[in-house]
Amino acid sequence: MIRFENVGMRYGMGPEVLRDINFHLRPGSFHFLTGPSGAGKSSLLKLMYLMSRPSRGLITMFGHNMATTPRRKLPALRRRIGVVFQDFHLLDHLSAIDNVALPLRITGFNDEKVVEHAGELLKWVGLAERLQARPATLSGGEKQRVAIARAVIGRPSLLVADEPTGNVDPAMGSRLMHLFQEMNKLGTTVVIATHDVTLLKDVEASVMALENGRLSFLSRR
Amino acid sequence: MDWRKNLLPDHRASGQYLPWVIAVMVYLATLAASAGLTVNKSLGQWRDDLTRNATVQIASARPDSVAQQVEAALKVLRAAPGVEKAEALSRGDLVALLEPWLGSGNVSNDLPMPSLIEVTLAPEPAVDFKALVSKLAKVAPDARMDTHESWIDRLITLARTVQAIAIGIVVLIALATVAIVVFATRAGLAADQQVVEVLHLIGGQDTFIAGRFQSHFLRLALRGGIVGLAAAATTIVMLARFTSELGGSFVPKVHISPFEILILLAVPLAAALTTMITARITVMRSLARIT
Repeated sequence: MIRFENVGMRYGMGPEVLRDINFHLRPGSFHFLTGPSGAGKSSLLKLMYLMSRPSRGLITMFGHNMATTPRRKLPALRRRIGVVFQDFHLLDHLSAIDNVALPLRITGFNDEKVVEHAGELLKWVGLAERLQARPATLSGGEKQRVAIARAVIGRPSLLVADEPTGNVDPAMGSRLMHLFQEMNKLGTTVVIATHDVTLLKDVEASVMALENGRLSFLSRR
Repeated sequence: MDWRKNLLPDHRASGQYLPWVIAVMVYLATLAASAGLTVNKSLGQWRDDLTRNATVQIASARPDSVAQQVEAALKVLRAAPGVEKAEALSRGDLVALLEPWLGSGNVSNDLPMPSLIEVTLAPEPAVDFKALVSKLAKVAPDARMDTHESWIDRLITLARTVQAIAIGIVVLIALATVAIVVFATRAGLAADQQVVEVLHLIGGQDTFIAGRFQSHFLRLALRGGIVGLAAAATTIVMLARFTSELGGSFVPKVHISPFEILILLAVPLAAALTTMITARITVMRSLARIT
């Protein structure tokens, strides 16, 4: 499903931030990505959600070689990927429900059903009373839950989350992890970048560790 | 309400002044276009007036022979094919022609003046001026015929120059509009970078993202275009009243026909379309640089 072969990445003419990355993520697998700050986790995730291109090596996403896939085909691939950004990337001028509805709306789904579905998801993450709230009025944890709801609303084949439980209390954290596990059971491949070691203990998943741009597997499942 | 309309934030620096800029551009372009149309119409009128008139002037060192030559010339002119009317101007008519320059009552009775014959030509058949001048020379050797040809040529040159300037102004305004919209769109893209990035990352096609910007800029341009057109219409109405009060056959009359109104209405629409297409191309080019 997702294959990285000898992937390296650098920004501009700078040093390589990722070196010789090799892994294969099977459909429906669950993975954690750990490592200290600056190890290259965000860069690796950017390659996974097609925000950046590698400087070298081969990336295969959903059977497509990224080096030869034309740019016009990338939006369709991006729609198969749900992303929870560390800084949420919510649109400040839209309400919580409009932010969550966005991925389905741009694909042309029936708007009434989209709004209904977005509302249900927000209720599920505990934001039933905050559907019309603008991100500026939400707490960090609430923003994170809106970002998660937006990432999962399109039932993505791959869910990439950067520190998704970083701003929520432990109870909500475990509720969100339960959501990721449920999605994983439905076939979504999940990759979560985290510093939270308790998550690694609670969930059965492969653990990948990045250090100085190099990837190693702490455990494989 | 359509969710697409809210996708870009409302109050953006890029769009704040654009309607006013477009309003000024549309105002100037409409006035330039209207000037071009008015001159074109006046040119036709002037040409008709001048090509249907000629003047025969008889001035002689022997004043006693002038009356005789005028009579003979009138006979030749009235008999010539293509001449509708030939009338000798009275001394009173000549004095009236001089009064604008010399002042009323300042033309003394002993001021020597040539005799003038005003000739009105029929649309068909065309007058053979060469033959007519030759015949006139035989019966009135001091007669000189003026067909206003050099006047017409100079007038046409002037009118064509004014039209070329009007077209040049419209083209310059269009180019300036394109440049302003490119800057405004780029500023809009920079201001809405987060929106563009999010739409891009959740799988929005470039055409979809560009579509939001082009609709936004189309709305701004239409708003500005309507204001500019209204201001231009007010100016044109004022000029029309002013020129009709002035009178005189050589002052161009500002009168807009229904067809010309359609042309002028097309100015804000063309500005809006130019703005929309420019915004789309600018956004598409910018997006093409993103992975």
